Amino acid sequence: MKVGSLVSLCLAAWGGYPLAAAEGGKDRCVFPDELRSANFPLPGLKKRLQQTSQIVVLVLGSSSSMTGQPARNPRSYVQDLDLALQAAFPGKTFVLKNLSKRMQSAAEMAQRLPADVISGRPDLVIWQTGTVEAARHVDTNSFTDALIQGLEALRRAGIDVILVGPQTHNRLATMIDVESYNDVLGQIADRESASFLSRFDIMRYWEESGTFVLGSQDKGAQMREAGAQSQCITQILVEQIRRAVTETQ
Amino acid sequence: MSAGVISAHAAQGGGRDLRLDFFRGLALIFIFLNHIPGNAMSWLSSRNFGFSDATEIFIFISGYSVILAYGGVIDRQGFLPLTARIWRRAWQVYAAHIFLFVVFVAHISYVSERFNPAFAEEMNIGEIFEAPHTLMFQALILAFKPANMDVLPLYIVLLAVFPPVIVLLKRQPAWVLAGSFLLWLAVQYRHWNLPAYPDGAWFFNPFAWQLLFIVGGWCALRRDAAPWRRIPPRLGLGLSLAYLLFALAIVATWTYSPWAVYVPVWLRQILYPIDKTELDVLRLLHFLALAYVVVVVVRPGAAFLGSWAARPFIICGRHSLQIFCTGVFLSFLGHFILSEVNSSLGMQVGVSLAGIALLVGLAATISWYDRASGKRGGGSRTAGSVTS
Repeated sequence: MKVGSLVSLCLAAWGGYPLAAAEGGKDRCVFPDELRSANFPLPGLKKRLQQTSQIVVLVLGSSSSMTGQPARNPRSYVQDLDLALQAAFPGKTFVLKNLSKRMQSAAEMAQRLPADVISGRPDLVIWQTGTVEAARHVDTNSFTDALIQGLEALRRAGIDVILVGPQTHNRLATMIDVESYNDVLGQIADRESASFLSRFDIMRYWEESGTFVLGSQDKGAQMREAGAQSQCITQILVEQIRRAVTETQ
Repeated sequence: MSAGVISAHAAQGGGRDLRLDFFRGLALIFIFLNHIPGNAMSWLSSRNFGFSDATEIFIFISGYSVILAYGGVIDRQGFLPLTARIWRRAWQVYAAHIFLFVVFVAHISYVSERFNPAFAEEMNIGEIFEAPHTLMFQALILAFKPANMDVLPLYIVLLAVFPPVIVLLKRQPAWVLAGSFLLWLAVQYRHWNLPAYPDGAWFFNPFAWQLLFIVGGWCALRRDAAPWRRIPPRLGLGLSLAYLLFALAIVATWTYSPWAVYVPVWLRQILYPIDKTELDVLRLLHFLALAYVVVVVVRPGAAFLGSWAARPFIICGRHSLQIFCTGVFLSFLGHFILSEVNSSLGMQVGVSLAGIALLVGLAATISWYDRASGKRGGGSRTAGSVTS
């Protein structure tokens, strides 16, 4: 069974989560297995799930991770993430803290870790990055250093992390080279045995397969489709977390 | 073609070394396919089978070709004419780059009008249009380089500083090679680079990539002695093939992400990151291993180089500046069609094949024109000049 289908079933069983990502009875969140992240464990979160009923998830990212944004921006994958996690882990309560900021780079986020993240002792950090670096043409070495510094700081503190990569849209590809930064994220995730959700690869697959129609001239339709896509990313992220705590040692 | 080139080719069997043209043409086609974002056909290119990609092939052959094209000028005419000719070439490449930049601006101006607001916020697209005069100036000084337009600025800089390097390379090749290697090594630790706009540094660090250019030039100067042939073929091929297979196995874990867990943690920590900007040692070794295997396995007079199948690549390789620039232009066009009309797999294949056909057609037309206008060999003016 595909990832998206499984999560959709879980969420449908919970019953309170809107399945806008499904259209005409077809689940649009599916994607090929080879685009799944390597299933690296989240030992800290696994332990906390066994010990306590309240789990704190902290999100650190740029615009696409911000919730409560003006109407000109689409739904974020972080919106209702707590509800989706509760559906996947019945009996647990998830408290979401969102420290995302517009145009925040990985280096800036890494600097914030000790005071704003580690001190709060979250059970899981979702670290979304890469787009700002691509937009600013940041040196990939600096990006690499920031990622390693941040991941190692979180590991030393015993806090699990999932990296979330940049979004993509084919129209943008000649303006902004997101792929190079996504590649760096993938390599650093493998280096540090960190779970990585490659939105770039999944969204590119959806685009090539025509799953979501983002090229419409109707800006309202564009926003709805982008929102539905984000909803799928939420589902995939939750499934990735579920697999990391249930299918690894 | 210089007298030096002719004699060198004569030493190789009386004709030009078609391997250079063939592999440069192949690299140009790969670069074209890779430059169309979201193009499934780019899976055919070398980057999906190892650590290095077509950029390494292009820069190495460019260094090799500059020596073939201009190496004899220094002996016959001296340093100043050599410098003048190479700088004229650099100027032509610069002009071609600026032309492509204008095409790029037209493209993104159109796209930003129709752009999906869902992504505009995060990707900060509007920012580059907020100060167009600054953007233009930064493009003119090669600090602002759009996506996929990083190779020509690297080539321009390498060409511009190459005249004294050629002189030194002819007199003290070992010292130049050692200096080039030490500079590359220093960059791996000190991260020296040229600044870019709006932030960061050059994507292809010229202080690192100069190594491949100079190694290419050194190989061209030593092509008759061919010191690499002193390596016992069985040992050289064994080590090279083992490394290429190792790289293939690692790259497979990038293609199929779940397999990454099977690479031991200690190995992942040694391997990553494999940096393209500073020409990571793993990329450099991969290219050198690939080049060694090709040189040993594909002899200068290999039968396939005379086949009809190799012909399109060879003629593209002979006119590399025109084919490179047209390839970038066609990749913009191909991307436009895929993003605005239809991005299906069939369309990706169609756009790729049409682009390749246009590139080959252009190369054939230039060859015909050169022959018709009396230039030797229909492109042999470029016998080796990359972009000449």
